[in-house]
Order: sequence, then C-alpha cells, then structure tokens
Amino acid sequence: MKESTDTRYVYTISRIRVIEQKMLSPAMLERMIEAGTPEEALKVLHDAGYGYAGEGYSVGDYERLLSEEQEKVYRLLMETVPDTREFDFLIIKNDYHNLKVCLKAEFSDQAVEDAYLLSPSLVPGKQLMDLLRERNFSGLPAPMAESAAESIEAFTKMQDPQVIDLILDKAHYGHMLMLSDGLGSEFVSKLVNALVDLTNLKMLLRAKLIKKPRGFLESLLIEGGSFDKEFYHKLFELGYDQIASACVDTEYYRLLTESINALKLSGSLAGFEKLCDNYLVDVLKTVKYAIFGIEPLVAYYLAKELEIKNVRIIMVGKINGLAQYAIRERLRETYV
Amino acid sequence: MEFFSEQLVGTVLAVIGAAFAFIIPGIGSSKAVGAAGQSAAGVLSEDPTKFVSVMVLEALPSTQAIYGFVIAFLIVGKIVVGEALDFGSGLILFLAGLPMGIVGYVSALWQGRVSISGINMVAKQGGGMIQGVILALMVEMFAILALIVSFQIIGKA
Amino acid sequence: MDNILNVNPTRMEMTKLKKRLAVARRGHKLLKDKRDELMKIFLDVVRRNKELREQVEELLTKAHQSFLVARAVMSVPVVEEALMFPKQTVELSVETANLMSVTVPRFSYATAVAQTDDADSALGWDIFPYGFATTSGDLDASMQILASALPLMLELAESEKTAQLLAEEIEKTRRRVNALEHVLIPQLTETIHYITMKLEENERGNITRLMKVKDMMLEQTYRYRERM
Repeated sequence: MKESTDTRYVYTISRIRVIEQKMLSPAMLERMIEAGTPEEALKVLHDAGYGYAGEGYSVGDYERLLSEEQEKVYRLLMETVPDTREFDFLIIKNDYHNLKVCLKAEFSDQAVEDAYLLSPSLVPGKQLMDLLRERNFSGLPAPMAESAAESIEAFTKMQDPQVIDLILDKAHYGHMLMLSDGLGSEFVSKLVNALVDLTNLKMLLRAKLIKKPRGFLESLLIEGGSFDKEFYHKLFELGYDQIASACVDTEYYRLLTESINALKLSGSLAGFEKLCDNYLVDVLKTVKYAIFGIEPLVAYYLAKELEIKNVRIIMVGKINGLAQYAIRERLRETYV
Repeated sequence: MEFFSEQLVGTVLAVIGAAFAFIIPGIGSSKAVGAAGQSAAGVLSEDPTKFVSVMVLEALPSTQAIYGFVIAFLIVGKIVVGEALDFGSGLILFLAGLPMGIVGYVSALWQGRVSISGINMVAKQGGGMIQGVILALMVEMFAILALIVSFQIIGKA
Repeated sequence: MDNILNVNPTRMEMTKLKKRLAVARRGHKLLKDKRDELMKIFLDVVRRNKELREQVEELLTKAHQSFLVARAVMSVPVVEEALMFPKQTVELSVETANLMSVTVPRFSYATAVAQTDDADSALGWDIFPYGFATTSGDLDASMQILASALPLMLELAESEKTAQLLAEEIEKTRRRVNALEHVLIPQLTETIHYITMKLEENERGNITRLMKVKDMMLEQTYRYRERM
C-alpha cells in the first residue's frame, strides 16, 4: 500500500498514540468478563477513562456512556484536524440512521425519541426532524436528500417500512463510497470496499438463511465494492459450501470458510459477523504504525467503534447473566 | 554575462554553492522539525511528563541545517574580500555544496519521519526514548558522511 | 337435632319434603356425572396446556437468546429503529364455544399486511420490517422464532383460560355435589324422619288420649268406683 506523506495530521496522530494506550486491552476485557456483577464491569470501564469526569454512571446508563465515548473520539478529531469534512464518511452512517428514525416515526405517527437518534452526525437529529417535517431537503447533502425523497415516494406507494431501510442503506453505502473515494487514500478505499463487500456478503447469507427469493437480494445489494451484482447472484444460487469455494480467489475465502462452518454448527450468523469485525481490525492494524496521513485517525475511530461493540457485548452479557464462555466466544479481536 | 565581470564568475559559483549547502538542508530540517514538533505537541497535550524525551527526538532533524551552515560557512570563508576566486576553485566550492545540500535535505526529511515514529513510540511506552534516538541517529550518519565529503571537497579548492 | 329444617311436622310438609328429596337425589347424581366429565375434559386441557407451555417457553427462550446476541452487537437506537415500525399487524378475534355448558374463548388471528398498490412487489411480504445492512443476523432468527411462537402463544392463552374456567366450573359443581350430598340430602332425610317420628308420636298420644277418654266415659256410665 502506498504510504501517505500528508503531514497535516501528525499532531493528532501523536495525540492518538498516547490515547490509544488507554484503549481496552484483552486483559481488561477479560477483567470485565470475570467481574461478578455488572457494576464491577462498569468500574473497569471507569478506570479505563470511559465517560466524563465527575459524572456518575449507573449500569443502566452504559449505553449513554458508550455513545459519549464515541463522541469523545469524534470531538478530538474535529478539534485537531485541519479539514473536518474528510471524516464525514465515518459519521454519515448516523445521519442515515436518524433519517430512518424520523421517517418511520412520521409514517407510523410516533414521536421521535431522542434516545433513538445517533450522534455525531452531519445534520443534528433535531434539525433533521424539522427539515423532514417541512419536506425541505435543501439543507441535506445531495445523496441524502435524493434518497430521502426516494424512500418517501416508495413508502407512499408500497406502505412497507422495510423499503425505507433498504433505500437508505443503499444510499448510505453509496454516499460513503463517494466520500471516501474523494479522499484519495488507498487505505480508506480498501477499508470502505471491505465494508461494502462484507455487508453484501452478510445480507446475502441472511437472505439465504431466511429463504428469500432471488429478487429480494437485488433490492439489498449495494453497488460498488470489489464484486459486481452478477457475482452475488451467482453465489446466492449456490449451497453454503460452494459459496466459500466460489470465493477462493478473493480476500474473504478464509473468513467465509470459517464462518460457514460456524453457521452449519450453530445456524447463526453471529460467527460470520464476528469474523467480519476481526477482518476489519486486521485491516485497521495495517496502519497502526503509520505516522502521516488520515489513515491512523480513521483507524483509531473505527477501532474505538469496535472496542465499544466489545464493551456492549460484555455489558449486555453481564446484565443478562450470560455465561462467561458465551461472552468470550462473541468478543471481537482488539486493536491494541 | 554583461553584468558579471569575468573574474567574478568563480566567486559567484562559490556563493551559490554555499547558499545551496545551507538553504536545501535548512528547508529539509525545517519541515522535519516542524512535523516532529507538531507530533511532540500532540504527545505533550495528552502526557506532559514526556517533555524531555519528545524534545530530544524533535530536535534531531535540525542537525542537517547545522551541517549545512558549517559547510556554507567554510565555503564563504574561502572567499577573500577584494580578491576574485578563479573559475576552477569557484566550481569546486560550488560542487562542495552539493553533497551536503542534497543528502542533507533527504536525510533531514527521513530523519524527521524516524523522529516522529520515535515520538509515537515514546507516546506508547515511556522508556523508548533511547531506542528512538539511536534509530534516528542511523539516518544522521548519512548527513555526517555528506558533511565529511563536502568538507574534503572544500579542502581541494 | 340441628340438621332439621324449620318446618311444621305435618303430613303435607312431609310429602313436599319427600318430593324435594327425590329431586335432590336425582340432581346429585346428575351433578356427579357432570363433575366427572368436566374432570376428564379438564385433565385433557391441562395436559395439552402443559405441552403448549413447554413449547412456547422453549421458543421464547430461544428467541430471547437470539435477541440478546443481536442486542449485544447492535446499539439500542439501532435496535429500536429496526423494530419501531412493524410491517405486519395481527388481528385477533375472540369467539366463544360451549364446553359442557362452560363458555370458553376461542382465538383466531389473521396477519394483515399494509395495503399496497404494487401487488407483486419483489420484496415479498414477510415479518422483517428493517434493512439488513446495519442489523445483525441474529435479529432475523429471533424475529422468526417469535413469529412461529405467536400461534402457539394464542393457543396457549386459549387453553389456559379454558382450563381456568373449567376449574372454576368443576369447583362450583363439586361444591354443589357436596352441598347436596352432605347438607341438603341428610337434612331432608332427617327432617322426614323427624316428621315421621313426630307424626307417630302424635298418633300414639292420640291413642292414649282416646283410651283415657274411653275409660273416663265408661267410668261415668257404669260408676265402677262406687260399686266397689
């Protein structure tokens, strides 16, 4: 991979190298798993610097704690990088989520609850709500506005809430590909491509698992990524074993073989999803020692996202009294 | 060449050599120390206790500019006021500036990278300063060699 | 003699009581039959109920497990978004049926999907109201299990209510049978017995009185005492 020589980010990168030390190591995650109560697990998080100082968090607040933690990372990036627009591709996910929430709430006559909205986002959730109510899309980025209009039209025609998600998911990945291509970073392109590929594979396996017709796959698949739609349609017709062997020339062969074995054992895609995250961590680790460019920042942001996912797995497991081995089995690899 | 008299060509060449020997590594060192400085500030804003380590590492790429300064000084020292250098000596002095200029620039940039890596290493583990300095000094060697070569060439003028 | 009804010990009363006794005996027999039959049905219902409950509990446990896994890898807002607007609505209608004169509920349900102009939509109607890109596969599994548990849960609710109503009816019938067997019938028999005794006693008293009167009349007529 071509290394970046863009020195604009050295300050933030070095800062992140210090902060990275506080990321949860496998040993700390293990401590959380072995904690007797959710409170003890939360204390490990607190010791690791989660949350804002001076605020008390109870076990029930862990979801707020986690979202604040992600916001902290984003805020650090925003405060220290010269061009904040470059990180848009990381957060538009939240915008599309908020868009879905607002549309679904409107169509089903519900109030939008703040707790359902995600931040950080390009357009703050509240503002998005007002814009949608007035059907004023001019304040939104073009792909978002187009997809919002499209999903409103599709919903009015079909009265099916799923189409909202389907259209917006596609638009989200399309938008993300567009933004990340604009960065001209080989690493980011590879990462986003991998995200698209793995999401497509996940949706393909899920559609197959719930025995959907081939036409349904068409409405799921995201354009872009390493493969064309034909390839996925071909895979869809194959048995699980052949899916892996059909991907023998791709980067995902090992991942698919392992996860299809797990799928056959448990009937669940949990194994696949875990391996996908591990694959992404491996991609992120390739820039662990980079000193220039946007890459380490992107890697840190996403690594933190995965760390938070791990913490959530443990907290949900602890609160619901899941066995330790069951929690351990689901944990993703860590970045540090 | 109406402007310059024939005798001045040698002197002008020597001055250009001196300027080259300083300006180019100077630019390199500035860039490298500048980037390393940002990196150091990044570390310090999270962990002020690492000041000494990151400061040493930040300062390392500045040596190329110092060597360039030495060479430029020596070259300028060869020019005697009121006495024109002959074309041959002027050319030699000009060429003497090149190794320091080019190698100094390149090594400053790369040493800057090693320094930043070293700073990041210090950021990760407290005691990594010595290793970082040693790694950066590996690059320093080429600047020193260039300094010696340039020095030797000046001696032949 | 506290088991005795407060009635006049007359012959007419006794005939009335005897009729009531006969009715009570017949009722007792009928109620006992009803109770036995109810018991039989109740046991069947309970057995089916147990089966259903085990099935439903197993399904719900599985659904909960899948949901937990899905929940663990998705944040709350994402889960909420995925499930905030259901695709299907279930219409539940309740009818009643008569089981041994017990009115029990019968549930029937119909899933209704939203009206669409686009009849042969490529999506096909299903239970998943969310997109697949941001959600976890385990959510599908838990949705599927829950969907398959719905008919069973309705049946379970039906059989549970039926069992409850039957139990009430059995209890009521049993109480009636007991009341007849241990209170009314003994009361009636004893009262009848009492009246019989009372009447006999009256009879005897009458005879004695008559004999005494006869003696007195003979005495008056023949003056035995004076002759002695």
